[in-house]
Amino acid sequence: MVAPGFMDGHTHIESLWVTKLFQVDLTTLKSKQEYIKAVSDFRKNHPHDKIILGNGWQNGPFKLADGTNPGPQKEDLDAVVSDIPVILYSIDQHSVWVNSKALEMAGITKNTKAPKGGMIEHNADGSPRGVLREGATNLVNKVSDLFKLTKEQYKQAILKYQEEMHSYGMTGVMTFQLKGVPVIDAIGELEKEGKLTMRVSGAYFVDPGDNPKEVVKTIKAAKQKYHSDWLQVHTAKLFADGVTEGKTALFLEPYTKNAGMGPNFRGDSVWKVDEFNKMVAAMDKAGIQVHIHAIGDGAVNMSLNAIEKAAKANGVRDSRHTITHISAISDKDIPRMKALKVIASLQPFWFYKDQYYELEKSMVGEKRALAFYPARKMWDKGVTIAGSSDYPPTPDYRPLNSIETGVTRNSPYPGEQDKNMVRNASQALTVREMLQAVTKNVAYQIFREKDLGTLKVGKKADMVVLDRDITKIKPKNISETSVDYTIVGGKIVFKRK
Amino acid sequence: MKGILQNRSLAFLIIILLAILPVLSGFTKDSPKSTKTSGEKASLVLKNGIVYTMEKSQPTAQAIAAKNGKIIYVGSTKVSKNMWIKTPRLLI
Repeated sequence: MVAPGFMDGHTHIESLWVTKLFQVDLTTLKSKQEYIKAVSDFRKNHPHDKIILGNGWQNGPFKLADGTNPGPQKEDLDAVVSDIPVILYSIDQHSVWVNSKALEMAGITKNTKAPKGGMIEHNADGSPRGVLREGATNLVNKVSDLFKLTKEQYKQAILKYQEEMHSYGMTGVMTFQLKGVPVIDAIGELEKEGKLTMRVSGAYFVDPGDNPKEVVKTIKAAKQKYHSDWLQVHTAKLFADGVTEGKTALFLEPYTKNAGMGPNFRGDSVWKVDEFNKMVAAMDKAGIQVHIHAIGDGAVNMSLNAIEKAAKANGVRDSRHTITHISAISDKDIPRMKALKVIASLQPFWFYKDQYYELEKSMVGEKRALAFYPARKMWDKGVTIAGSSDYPPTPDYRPLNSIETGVTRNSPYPGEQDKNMVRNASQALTVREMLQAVTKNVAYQIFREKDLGTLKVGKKADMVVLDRDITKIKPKNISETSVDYTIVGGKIVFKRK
Repeated sequence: MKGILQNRSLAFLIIILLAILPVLSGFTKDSPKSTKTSGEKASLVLKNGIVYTMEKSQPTAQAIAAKNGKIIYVGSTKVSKNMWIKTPRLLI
């Protein structure tokens, strides 16, 4: 069958390839011992490096036999590297695990206070444990800045990603540029060199404390600079909250006692509400789309409030503001989302009992964790659901997995499918709906519905050719379908061998 | 190509004339109007299959053709024969 090329409305194209090419890659490792060995081996192979960065660890492997999970600690790293800083980012990028040298260089002591919404973990003796979460991860930014890649190195990573995504049938993305990392410029240079064969919508991060005027200036300049068929900029990315497994997502109801945060702990927002509202309104006024990370229903509510206020102040416009993740949403907020025409950028990869489920269950209880991602309810109320991966927190970002899981609410991996991994089957979408979510709806999200996302005379010839009709096979086999060809602008960019 | 052989009814023929493959940087200069004629030569034709267009007015088709980076035809396989080009190259 032929479909419009798959698109991913929320990804970080360079990050894992930067790790694979230039850092310690922890993404495929499964135990603390493997993590430590990887750092130790990397040091041996790069004896002259002044800093070691890594990526991809998870909380799961630190779980003890009694069911508690104290997480990683600096002492494990100190044992193998103590003279230069080691900074390891978690797979979801929301936590860092560092050695003592990194803490020392960042000036983090037992007296350092975590910024709002962030967390510095401590050992029993009060000393920093070597794990920083959410906003507190920024405390080591000055140290991690010692690790510099050239724009050429970023281009290498982006081209690797591009080759890989084409092999999955993908033709377009929205990607987010970390501060100080010249990814959008690198993509622009690749376009000039004639090497860019994917459609890119680039977005800029905006943090609490940023000056709205400066942000508007930066993004408007980028909008003017990048407005081609290949690369465009429309968007500011904001974090309303953190993640459930890190106890940093903001919910309307309290966490369970397993979070260890007391009886009425609901999480916290990354921003002060007033500042958040002001920033969203400023973006909206300037014609900039906001793309808001909101996991808990409290953060989704806060985001909708901000968008509603902005619409009241600035007048309703074709803003296409987007809320991404939406693990939970209050039933009352679903019709509001539709009325405000806010797009839901969801990660169907997470719609089953995925790698994060056990921790989610522990943090908010089984009933709430099972009710996560109410896609059916949202679709039926008329909310536009656009598919995305949030790669690399989702390391295996193949859109066919996403389509399958959106339909089955089960694991896309054959070995896991009989192991009670279904999450809330009543919220399943159909294959056709999922196809629309990963094509047409992403094109709409990135303001490209006039030339991308559907197959119609006059539109760009961006297509995927699959070896079978996925609407006619058992949904559990969708992810085993092969991509025969990926075509961008009428040109074959991937051909199955 | 194993899957294709197993699903003959879904099989696609992809025909492409490399010589007139569009130059990527030239896409924006083309006017869609000039490429709408269905009788014109395409640089890429996919036919004899099922095309899910995601368009409400024409949700499915048998064939699709492209030229200069854009779609110039969506419809039945029969009509798309008119767009065949000299010495087509068979990819599958």
